[in-house]
Amino acid sequence: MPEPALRASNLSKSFGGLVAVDRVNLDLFQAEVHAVIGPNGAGKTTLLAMLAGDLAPSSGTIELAGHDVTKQSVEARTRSGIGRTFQRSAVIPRFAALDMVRLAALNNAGLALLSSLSANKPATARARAALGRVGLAERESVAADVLSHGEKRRLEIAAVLALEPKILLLDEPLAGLGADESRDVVALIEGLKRDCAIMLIEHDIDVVFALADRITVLDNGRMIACGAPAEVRASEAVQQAYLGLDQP
Amino acid sequence: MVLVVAALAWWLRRSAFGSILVAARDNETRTRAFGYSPYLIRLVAFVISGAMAGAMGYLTAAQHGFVAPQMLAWQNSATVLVMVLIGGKDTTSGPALGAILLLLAEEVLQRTTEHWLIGVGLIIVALVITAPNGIVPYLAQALRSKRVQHA
Repeated sequence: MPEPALRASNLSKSFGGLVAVDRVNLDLFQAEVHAVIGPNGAGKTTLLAMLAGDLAPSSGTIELAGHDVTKQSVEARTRSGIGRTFQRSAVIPRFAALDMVRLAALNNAGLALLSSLSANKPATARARAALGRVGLAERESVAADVLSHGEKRRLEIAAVLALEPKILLLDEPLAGLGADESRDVVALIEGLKRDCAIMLIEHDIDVVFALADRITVLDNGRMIACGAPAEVRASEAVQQAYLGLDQP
Repeated sequence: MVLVVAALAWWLRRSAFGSILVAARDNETRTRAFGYSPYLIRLVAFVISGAMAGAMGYLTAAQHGFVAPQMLAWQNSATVLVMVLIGGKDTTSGPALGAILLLLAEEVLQRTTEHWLIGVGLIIVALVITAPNGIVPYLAQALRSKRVQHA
């Protein structure tokens, strides 16, 4: 087994008396889509927030390619190669789509921050390429907050791609998308797999089973199953807690 | 000196650094997820504005030949804040316009009446009611709607 790109060991988070995530172990490997599923309130987003650095875990450790990053800030983890999208689109209002992606592409440019965004040719090229990949090339000059919901979701993905992450944390990338848009994003995620390790939180079970190489199931903060899609589908605990709900 | 500071402010606003400042104000979470530290960016901005104020302080002291303790009073900071607010806090030209207007109003009213502070207060209240975001955004908005009417 190769070394995981990202490893969470015994990760827990409590808010007062509520244990949102309870001793979860998770390994993300390069070139793999690892889906995390579970009913609402199972702790999926809390888990992702801890991996991204938004929330400090109550206990447990997070390792990035063997280095402990549990205490690192969001921005430090981003610079070490973790990119994430948000459950609710988090675009920067009044920024043109291209400028928002450029801001991501410029990351860590040092003195280049003193010249204007548009003056930086490599960042602009990277930003345009990322927008092209999500199919927003023609909307580059539109203000981010004016874009449609589906376009905002894709802009989010473009911005994260411009960071050229090694680990991609996707929080419900398909939420609120139409059928056509969903298909495009699914194809995009499939293509991204080659370059990075992907953690996917998604409610659309069909998409999860089609895309994921491995699936972790959370229920009430606990990991109740982890394995290949076929194993997870067969697991009795999962059927009871989650999948069974689909077929009453 | 005003020109130097204005040029510096204009250039900072246009630079990627300026874009990050705006981004960090409008969506801090997203900006952090892009790998920028809002704390660091704001610290740099604070140091730059502090340095500008320091340079102005030196020039004032050199001009008057002395520094009165009253000049360190908090009212002076409040005056600067009012200048920024009535000019427009999201703009580069707003604070300059605010400063000119406020000082002009003070100067003119001081000559006409003993109770000039009441006049200044009324002007500030009127401006806050008609242009809560500041004069420059208000004018920009007025210009835009005029253009829309013409079209």
